[in-house]
Amino acid sequence: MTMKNKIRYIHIIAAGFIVLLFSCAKGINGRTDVLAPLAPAKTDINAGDWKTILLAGPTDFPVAAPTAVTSTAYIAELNEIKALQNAITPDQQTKISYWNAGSTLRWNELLRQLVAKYNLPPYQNADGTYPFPNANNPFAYPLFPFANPPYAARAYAYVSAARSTMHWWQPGITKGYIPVPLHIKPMQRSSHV
Amino acid sequence: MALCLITFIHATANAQTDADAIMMAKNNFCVGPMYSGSHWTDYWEGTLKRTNDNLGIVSTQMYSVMGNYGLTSRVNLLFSVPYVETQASAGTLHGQKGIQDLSVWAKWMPFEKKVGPGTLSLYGIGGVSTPLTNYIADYLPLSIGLQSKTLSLRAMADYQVGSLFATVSGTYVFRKNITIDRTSYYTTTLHLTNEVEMPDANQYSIRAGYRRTDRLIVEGIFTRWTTLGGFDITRNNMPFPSNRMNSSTLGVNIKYSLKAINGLSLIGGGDMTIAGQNVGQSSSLNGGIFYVIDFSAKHKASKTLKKA
Repeated sequence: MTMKNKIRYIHIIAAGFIVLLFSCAKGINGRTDVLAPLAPAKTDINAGDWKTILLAGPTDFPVAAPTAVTSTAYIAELNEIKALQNAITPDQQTKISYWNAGSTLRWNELLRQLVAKYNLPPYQNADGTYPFPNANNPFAYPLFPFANPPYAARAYAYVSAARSTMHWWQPGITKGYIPVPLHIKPMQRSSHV
Repeated sequence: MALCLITFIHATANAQTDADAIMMAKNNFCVGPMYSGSHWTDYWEGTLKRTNDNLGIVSTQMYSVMGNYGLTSRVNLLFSVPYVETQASAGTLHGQKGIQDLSVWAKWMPFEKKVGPGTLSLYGIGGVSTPLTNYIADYLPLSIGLQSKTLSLRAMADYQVGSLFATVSGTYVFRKNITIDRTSYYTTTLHLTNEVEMPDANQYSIRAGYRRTDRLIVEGIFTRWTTLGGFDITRNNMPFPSNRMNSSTLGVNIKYSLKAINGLSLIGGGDMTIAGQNVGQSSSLNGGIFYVIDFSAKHKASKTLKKA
């Protein structure tokens, strides 16, 4: 083989490698990694009138009224928020974008992650029996098998209930401060896993 | 040749390959069938060495066709196509079988000179592998491969004094991401995609022994495979394609070229895994028959060129 031919071979081989190298982009994207901010069709302005499930009524947990909008404390707090907003780091922006997709979705994903993590039997004892988790030290191995279907369903329900029983202060309602009633929707939503 | 596939499968073939310092003469084509059988009972779940009553003994049979063509005496092209069959002696997991990945290698020897008492030669080797069938990767330890397309770049040096030699090589393996038949999966976090990020890997290998290329080669081989990333198998869970699979193997390889039939050689060998992480502690045996066909009209006798 002549030198020229040799060089040609080397070039062909090298070119092939380079093409392949550049096509080897790593990093994977999940379906819900990048989502447009959630734009709810309804704001549920009358959520305060919904029938509560876990609570007797909206006044079970009274929420203190916010300070007056003209007070120094209020204005200082507002200015602090503005200052923080003007100095948002890329990391904070990522977190904002993440939660913008909607907390129902994100909490459901986090729960699914925990269910997947805990859906394993503990490592067996030497005699082949299964060890029991220690209720006083629940994060030590063996972990609770909290992801078998009844446990998992209960975990979804707990988090959905906790997430939906949030308090907010709503102006214009003379009754006072209302908790958001337990919305049945997140529970139904969680049942698909 | 299938070293780049070290996994739970551990189907390795140490015969005349991309990893040794033997070059075919120009227009010579060495081709033949190769068998490799390996099995393991113990495996490393992360760093925990254990057995599994739901697997028993996991065995892998590999039948492959390998070939090495001398484009010139300094540039060789090699290929390998394996058929792999896996089996577990206990439990409910069914074995898998099928044609696995095609590997193609180019081996280039840019340097060969007498240095000191012996001969030093240097090699640059590049290879690609791609799955030939749509086998299931996400079924370890019984899947027959990982479905990942790979690109391997290897540098190798060989030094021979008389009939004694030593070869060292280092390889970097780029591995492409794969897709599995799930819409979501959990590694150390939840992934809402069917794409799996495959960490790259490197491998180094030392082989040394007796070599008279025309007659007999007896060599010991140490190989270390390190996955550059990935995660440990979670406790009591199945392995996953992107696990951090590491292994160290020790092996022996013999190649005998028959006197009676020119061009025919028998190879055989074996190896065992001496340390590992997220792999089976396998031992394997392999054997093959290779025949050299000389496509250059001028000599009838065909032989490997190097350092007879």
